[in-house]
Amino acid sequence: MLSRRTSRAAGRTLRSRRSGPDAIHALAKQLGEPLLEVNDIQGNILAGFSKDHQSLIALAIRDVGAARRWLARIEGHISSTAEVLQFNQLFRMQRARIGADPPGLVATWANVAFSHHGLERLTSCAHANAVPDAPFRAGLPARAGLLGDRAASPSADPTSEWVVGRTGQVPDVLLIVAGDDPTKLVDLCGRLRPNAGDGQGAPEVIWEELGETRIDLPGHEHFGFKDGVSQPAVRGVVSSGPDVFLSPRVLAAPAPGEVEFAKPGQPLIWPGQFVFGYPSTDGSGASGGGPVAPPRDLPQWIRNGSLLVFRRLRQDVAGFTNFIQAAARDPSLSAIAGMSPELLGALCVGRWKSGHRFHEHGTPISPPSPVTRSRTTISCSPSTPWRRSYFPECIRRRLRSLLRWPTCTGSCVLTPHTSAR
Amino acid sequence: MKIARLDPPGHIDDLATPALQAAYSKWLSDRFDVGVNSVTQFLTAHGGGTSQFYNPVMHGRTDPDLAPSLGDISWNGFPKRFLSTGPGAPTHFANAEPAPAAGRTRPQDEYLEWFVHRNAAGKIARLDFTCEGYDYFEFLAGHDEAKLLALYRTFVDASAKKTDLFSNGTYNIKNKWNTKHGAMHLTHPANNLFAEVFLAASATVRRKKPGGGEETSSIPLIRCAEYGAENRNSDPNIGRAVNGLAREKRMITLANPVGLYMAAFDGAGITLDGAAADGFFRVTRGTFPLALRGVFELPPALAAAGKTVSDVKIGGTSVEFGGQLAQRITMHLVGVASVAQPVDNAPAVCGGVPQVGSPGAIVGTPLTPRTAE
Repeated sequence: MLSRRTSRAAGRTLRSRRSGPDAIHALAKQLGEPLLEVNDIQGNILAGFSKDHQSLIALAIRDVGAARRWLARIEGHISSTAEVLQFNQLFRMQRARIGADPPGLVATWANVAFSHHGLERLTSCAHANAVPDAPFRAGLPARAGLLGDRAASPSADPTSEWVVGRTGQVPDVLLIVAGDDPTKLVDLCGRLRPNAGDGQGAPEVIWEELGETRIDLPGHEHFGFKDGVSQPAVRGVVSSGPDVFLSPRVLAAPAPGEVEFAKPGQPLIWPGQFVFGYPSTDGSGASGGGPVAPPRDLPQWIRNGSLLVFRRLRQDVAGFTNFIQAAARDPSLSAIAGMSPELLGALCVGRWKSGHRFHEHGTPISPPSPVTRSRTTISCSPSTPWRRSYFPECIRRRLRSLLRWPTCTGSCVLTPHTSAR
Repeated sequence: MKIARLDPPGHIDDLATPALQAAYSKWLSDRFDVGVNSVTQFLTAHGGGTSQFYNPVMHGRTDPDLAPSLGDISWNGFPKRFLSTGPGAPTHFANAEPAPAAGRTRPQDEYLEWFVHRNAAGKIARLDFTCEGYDYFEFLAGHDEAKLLALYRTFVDASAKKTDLFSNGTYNIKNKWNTKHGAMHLTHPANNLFAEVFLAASATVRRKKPGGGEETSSIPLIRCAEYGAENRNSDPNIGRAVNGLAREKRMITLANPVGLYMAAFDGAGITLDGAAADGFFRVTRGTFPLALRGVFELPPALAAAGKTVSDVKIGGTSVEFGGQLAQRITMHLVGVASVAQPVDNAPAVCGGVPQVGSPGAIVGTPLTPRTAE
């Protein structure tokens, strides 16, 4: 789904840029990284909402005029990267001072995304087809087979079991509303949902779901592993102040050809990987990792937009746990020194449950405690002997013969990244 | 581990007599020797050391090797340099498969090449994929012309003649049946068996980091050792994996039968009129994971009904180019490494390993290392 701020917001940004100091432009040029138009980029793309409560609201456009009126009404509620980034920085500053999440510092954010069909109805087929991404144009149902969703028979629709977005029922609009305080979240959702005031034919809510992080194990995903430890760090300049970079740099620049990290576990990626209109990381290898300029023929209205994959998954936590316990006892794996369900789980996920890397300097390391932020990282080097020997080739091959990935049941996951590839 | 002989790629049954099989083994063994000698001379010139790359026929090792799965090195078959440079930028499928012309090599440099058969309406009727080195066919041309011609007639066109394949008595790897009208084997200068052997040999040389320490990452390694092109999926990946085994102080060679292979075809999401079409890919020489040749075409009944490969969709996108299906092919080769870790060479300075000697008397196209475009 395409996700971008609306034209009025873009106008605000351009005006603010024109009237703003030239210093930040000069600084961005000096640092060799693009100046990000953070007032024009939705907040969940580069900054991340990082909220414990999130509501997803899928809508179908019934009447185009009514849909436009509704969008005009909610436009002012769409959160920008600038807002979310500043809140996140304030939150981190206070947490560092207090030593815990700052009480009372809460925010509620909203973003919006459009499917190809939704964009086509609101604009034109030509506009929708101008989005330079074949998976976006094809839509997720057409990609179901690529995603591993198998139909009951070769001629059956692999999306027939989807709860939302199956063939012919792809939402036109997806609202993402997230907050620290569930009461405030519900309140904002109520204000953003189409209502009688939007007139006849206002968009219809066709599906809605409220998601929450684990209150029993904050910061961990459903399988019990520390979450958010290997996010890419996006390059780009956002201010001329102390936090000049979108992703603060903790580590020194590496030798030529090495992957550069902002901090452990966070490789630096050019912003065009996530937002249209900026330099991207060269995927062809021609320039040794980029940056490469964005396509020249990119429509101006797409600038600062992004792509979001909305895919609802069910996860079988008990099935995974049972599997790694059984597989670790299998003779083909139990012969590996140190094999245990904990190690096998770490190998499958890429880190210990604590978030620590599972090997260092070629030697497997035990799950450490307590967690220290500086070591909360995956080592991505596949060249260290232990990893090279046992992961991914060895483990993957042995798992393949053992594996009967359990049928998933359980919660939902939203994947707010850029591309369906 | 010492072996008695080197077999033809994929254990294919092209070589009918023991004498021919022995000749092939000697032919390939000579290439291993060039690799070993080149590495040995390079090490001697840079502080000394023992070649960790060895010829499995000539070397006397009898100790055990690691499991084959630990030396399995895979990569995607579509050339990396034609991939999209980033979001919003297209994959350059058309550039990856320019219109075939007699004598023109294909720009597909991941040890996988393909030929697109189109009907009169320009629709794709069939796709042929091959990963057989041109030097193997030069060997066949030098030892069994009848077999060479039979392969062309079986897999490319029944009307192929010997005179089409040879120029002035020399096998022409860029003959019209392997360029303009089809693909019998690889044509890109870097796509040959000797290049595979020499890359593996060169990558066993451990390398110093300019600022201290040892190179371990794929791109810095290939820039330092100059054993291939960094804008490929294959070369940096092969080099990194082999060098990793070398840093573990193991003795290293290539698994018999030596070759570049299609390991698997991923048919997920390939449909025709909404029905699964993943079965349209067939291996026609060798078998997975040592497949040498494959074809993607519709079953006769569907073809008779007027359907073509152009009607097939991958994730909702119509097939317009062979490269879209080449992207679904996983290539691989298998290295062999000793359990023992007897050689602890000091890392050497940057610079390519110069080739020492010539691998036997092959006439025709000169063998080219992987660095060539």
